[in-house]
Amino acid sequence: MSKTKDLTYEKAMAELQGIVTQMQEDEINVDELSEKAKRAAFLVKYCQDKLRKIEEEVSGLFEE
Amino acid sequence: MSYTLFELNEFIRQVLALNLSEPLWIKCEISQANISRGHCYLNLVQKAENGEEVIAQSSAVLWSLKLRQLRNKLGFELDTILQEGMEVMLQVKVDFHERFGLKLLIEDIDPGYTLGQLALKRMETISRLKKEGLLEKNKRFNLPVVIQRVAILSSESAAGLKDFLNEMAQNEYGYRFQFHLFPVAMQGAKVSEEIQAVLKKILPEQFDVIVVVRGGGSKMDLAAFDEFLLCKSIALAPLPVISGIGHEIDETVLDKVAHTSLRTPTAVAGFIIHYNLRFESALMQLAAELKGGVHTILQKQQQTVRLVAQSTISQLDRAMKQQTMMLKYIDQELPGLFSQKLKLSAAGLSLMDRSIQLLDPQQVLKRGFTITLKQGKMVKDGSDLEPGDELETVFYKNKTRSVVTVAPGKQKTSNQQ
Repeated sequence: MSKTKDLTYEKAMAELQGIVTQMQEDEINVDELSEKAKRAAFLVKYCQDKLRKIEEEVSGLFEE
Repeated sequence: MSYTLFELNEFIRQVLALNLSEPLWIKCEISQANISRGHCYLNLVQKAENGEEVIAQSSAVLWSLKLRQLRNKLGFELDTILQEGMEVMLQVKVDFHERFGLKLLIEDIDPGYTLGQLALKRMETISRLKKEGLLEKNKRFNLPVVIQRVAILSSESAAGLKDFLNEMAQNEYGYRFQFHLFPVAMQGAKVSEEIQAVLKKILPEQFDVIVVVRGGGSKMDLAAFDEFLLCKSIALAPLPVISGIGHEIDETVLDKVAHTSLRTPTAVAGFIIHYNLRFESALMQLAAELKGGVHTILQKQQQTVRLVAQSTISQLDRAMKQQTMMLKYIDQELPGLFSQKLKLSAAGLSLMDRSIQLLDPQQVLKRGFTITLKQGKMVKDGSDLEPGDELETVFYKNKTRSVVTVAPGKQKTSNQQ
């Protein structure tokens, strides 16, 4: 599971797809379910937020 | 005999006027063009074939009156034609002035020739790019899953730039973008040089894509984007290039080498927004599948719990029913069994009673049998008796005494003999 810091759209999407596949193939038991669902919800929200805001860290990048 | 300079120049003017009285068509390249006080002053050259060496050069002028006439005829294309580097076909009148020397006065311009030359140049560029493996080079990039950091190559004054930025900023999904404008000339002779220089400055890790945008222009106006070195630099750009350089019909060569080519800056904005929307849709689709998955797993789990509970209950139920049945059986059947057993026992007892009764000596005596006793002991064998033995005979009722007269033993002896 990647850290939030290094998280990219690609990684988030891949991880989400992984969770969905695991779920569809019955590889997640009920004990893991809550944790996985939480992680998935986080990833979705992360991507949606990121689409709608500009990373502050990049704002000072173009000073010439 | 000698002449004055004026006489010589006057003579030249007369010779030229006599021999070149009519305007004529010439092919040349414009090496410089300046507009001053409404007149357009040009420097015309011809270069050696396959070389840059200038083998002929003349100055020319398009007087303001003619310029206005041609502008009415050719529209904006005139400005494009009258540019440095353009191959042109001009109708000129040769003019010689004693003081100002030789000048070509432009009477007419054939735009078809320039277009043809441009088309030729364009074809050359394409075949050269193809030969050098550059035509598909920029298409090797995969666009990132989301396009958000955009390097813009455009002119600050370009109408298309404003369209692009407005369209991007006003997207209905609320997507935000980071833009960085790298200002470059979007028309004229400097386009190629400036784009090449700027592309070298772009750091690929800071952007997702490079966008080249400008508003619409005439066919010749776009000629700069057919230039080989420009197209090569686009092909070799460190990021995927999306073009929207405002053309109606024909693609430029830049469009051919770009990763993705769209007609207008607005279309580029639309493309990027929908590209991101597609990502978000896929995201939402996954989220929905996930929700469904969680629901299914929970439902399954509930079902399992329910099944376990149900089977436990039914097992308990069955066990209880069995117990009840057993008790009921015992309750119902046992008394019967007992009484049967008792009856059987009773029958056996009465039989035994009768047998016992039959054996009772009193009963035997009653039927007429007697018991003989000698000295109080039952006589079972007559040969034990001796004559003179006193016997007691017991009857059913009463008894009597007697004496043995004949010894039954003798008879017995004789019998034995």
